[in-house]
Amino acid sequence: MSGFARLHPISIFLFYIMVIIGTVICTNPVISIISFMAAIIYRIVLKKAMVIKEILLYLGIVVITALFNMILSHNGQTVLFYLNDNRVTLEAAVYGFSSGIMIASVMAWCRSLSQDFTEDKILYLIGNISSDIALILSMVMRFIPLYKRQSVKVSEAYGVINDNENENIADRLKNKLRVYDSVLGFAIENSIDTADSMKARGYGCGKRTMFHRFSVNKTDIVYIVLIAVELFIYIFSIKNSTASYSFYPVIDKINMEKNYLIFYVSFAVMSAIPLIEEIKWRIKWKYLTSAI
Amino acid sequence: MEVLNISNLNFKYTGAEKKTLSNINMCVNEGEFVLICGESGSGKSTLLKMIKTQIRPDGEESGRIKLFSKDIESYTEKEKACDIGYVFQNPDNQIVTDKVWHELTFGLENMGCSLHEMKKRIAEMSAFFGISSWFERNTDTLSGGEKQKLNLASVVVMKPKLLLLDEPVSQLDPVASMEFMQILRRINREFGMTIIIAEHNIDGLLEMTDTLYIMKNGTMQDSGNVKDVLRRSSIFLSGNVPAYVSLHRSLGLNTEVPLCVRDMKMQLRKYYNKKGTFIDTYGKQDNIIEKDEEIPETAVKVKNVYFRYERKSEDILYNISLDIKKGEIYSLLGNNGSGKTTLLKVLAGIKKPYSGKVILSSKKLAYMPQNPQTLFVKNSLLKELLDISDNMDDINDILEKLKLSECSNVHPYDLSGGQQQRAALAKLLLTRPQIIFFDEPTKGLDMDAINDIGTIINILKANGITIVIVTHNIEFAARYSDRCGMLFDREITCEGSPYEFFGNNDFYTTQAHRIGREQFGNVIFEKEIADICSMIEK
Repeated sequence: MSGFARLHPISIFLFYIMVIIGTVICTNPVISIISFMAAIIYRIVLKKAMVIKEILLYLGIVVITALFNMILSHNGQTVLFYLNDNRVTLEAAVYGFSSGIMIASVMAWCRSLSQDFTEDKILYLIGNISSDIALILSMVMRFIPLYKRQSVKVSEAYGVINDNENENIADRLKNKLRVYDSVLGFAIENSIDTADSMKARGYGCGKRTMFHRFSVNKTDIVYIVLIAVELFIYIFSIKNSTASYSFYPVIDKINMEKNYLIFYVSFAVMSAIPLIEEIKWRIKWKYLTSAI
Repeated sequence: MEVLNISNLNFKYTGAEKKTLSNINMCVNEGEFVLICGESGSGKSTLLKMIKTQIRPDGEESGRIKLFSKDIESYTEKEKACDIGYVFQNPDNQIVTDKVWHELTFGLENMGCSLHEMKKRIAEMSAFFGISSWFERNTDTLSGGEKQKLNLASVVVMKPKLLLLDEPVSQLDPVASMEFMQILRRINREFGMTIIIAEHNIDGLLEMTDTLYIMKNGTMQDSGNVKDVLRRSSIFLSGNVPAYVSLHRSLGLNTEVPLCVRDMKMQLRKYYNKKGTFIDTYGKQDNIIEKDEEIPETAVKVKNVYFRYERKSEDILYNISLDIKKGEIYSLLGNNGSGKTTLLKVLAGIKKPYSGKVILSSKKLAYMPQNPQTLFVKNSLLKELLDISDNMDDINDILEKLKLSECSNVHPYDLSGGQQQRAALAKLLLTRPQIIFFDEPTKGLDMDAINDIGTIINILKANGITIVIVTHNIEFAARYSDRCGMLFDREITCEGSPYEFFGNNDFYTTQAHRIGREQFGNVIFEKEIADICSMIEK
């Protein structure tokens, strides 16, 4: 488990929502690049050498988006060359490149999300809204492997009965249907027992509570405040059009004035939260294990 | 203190003609360990469900059930859910959630327990049951025995005052079932929790039981102290008593009823040894017959088979060689996880070995899975059979042979366990197989149903069909097989006729052999001991 994943689900959830939505909404290439760098470095720290294939995939996406935009979009003033009598412009290339980075960073964040935001955390968050929905999800997660195993058993048993080597597609379809029928019957009949077992343990007696093993600590509060501050600056910057950036007809200059810098730096600090937490955890762990 | 009092309870299922329960009276005191036994269909499950009102079946009822001297209906739903715990027969179906920790907390969540209270109770329970290390596991990865242990833990965690269990060990292998019974014993002895358990296979439970109730056809035949009831009424249980009890009965001894192998062994020594005769008439008789016949051809030949599930996993089968003759009943025994079922699947061609050969004399095979429900697809038995064959004469013939003619229009899932087993077998037999593979054919069945299966297997054998059985049931293997083989550490470690096999084993053997071995030599059935004893008497 990564250091960041050890935090409370609420902090993890808020962070990913903020960083992913923040990256998608804003067209400013500086934000895209910051987000991309933060996401990639976090992936590298987490997965080490295993991540090389993944990074190649992201770079591929950047290149392909840039190429597509260059070929399909002919806006922009700076013509680089003509392709089949069509203008290929610098602006279209930069815009494609920037969007490619944006898409790749969202993908990288989603990968980390699925690693840090495990099933029990999802259940916990949903359970806070409705513990019944959380229970249904948990039951579904239980039924899937159960029915899968049953369908293997059925097809094995039937495989011995009709050991027909030259069966055609119709036969095969009929066998598949038979397996489906059998598992359906099994599911319906046996879920009566499950329902009884739920009733016997008092399901539906009153308001349910929810068991979990998460607790909010100081670090969580610090990060939640940090994310809130960033959200505030972000909204303010969009309103202020500090966040806006246009590629056409000419590429805007990257502005480095004070309020722009605040926007960039605050986003960078927020994006680095998982990285900071991971490094903090590793140092702490090293220190602790050295005492063993 | 009186925990439960049932007076004049009658119950009839909606649409049924006969009463399932008639005139039941029961009185259970605090801390008592109560065993209700009777064959399947005797009404013991229904009785338990009547006490656990949330899962009461639909029907007409009369009579009174009092819990702690108050009418059971006067309790709130919450009180009833907490105070009466219920463990079901099937370990799989009663699990609700996907994680062990969630399953343990499920009942507490329903009760609206605080987080702190839940944590405390779960910690206590996991430590008591020794399941702390499973906490994070998916319920799906547990074995049958582990699942049932979890089911018990997640009921006990709600602190019930009365624990009801409906055939909780019938789906478990012998080792897991003994372990489960020991936990029950601890819950009873160490906490004084009142336990009522319904079970037809009562070996191992008798020792811890205070009060025994015997049910038959919905009525209470007898009740009282275990030893008294067994002496008076064990006949109502027909074959469903362990060898030591039935031997005691058939010898007509006027002594205390033995509750374990040791007790019977001591009694035999006391009453039959002093007459000083050591008789060894039994034993090698089956070998003599074999020599007269010509050697039959091989039906299943296994040559140096190796098998593993995945390329990088461990070998499950290692250099296995096996010869099964045509028309033979071969039983494969062994512990859980020894690879018995895997070997059976390799023989049936479901799994392919990565090295070695399996040669079968016929291509007409049938594979009977552990759960006969696996073979059911339609909504009536007749339709099930029509799914395999169109020939009505064949179908009627088989229904008759397997004693299923009356249930041809019943939904397969509504048949009893024994009938389901026979129904699935009927389906397989319609394909006219020459070799049949059975995976645990006796699982969850009572003695009558087991004997039915045994009789059918013998008829099949007489028709020249080869039968390979994987089983945990030592008594069944001894009674019905021609040869037994034991799978251990990926290999078949010993093999032979029941007399050679069980006669040479000291621990992994029939109860009768354990009782009589030291005195009478190679005996493996209680009937033999009874015969020898009656000869001594003369």
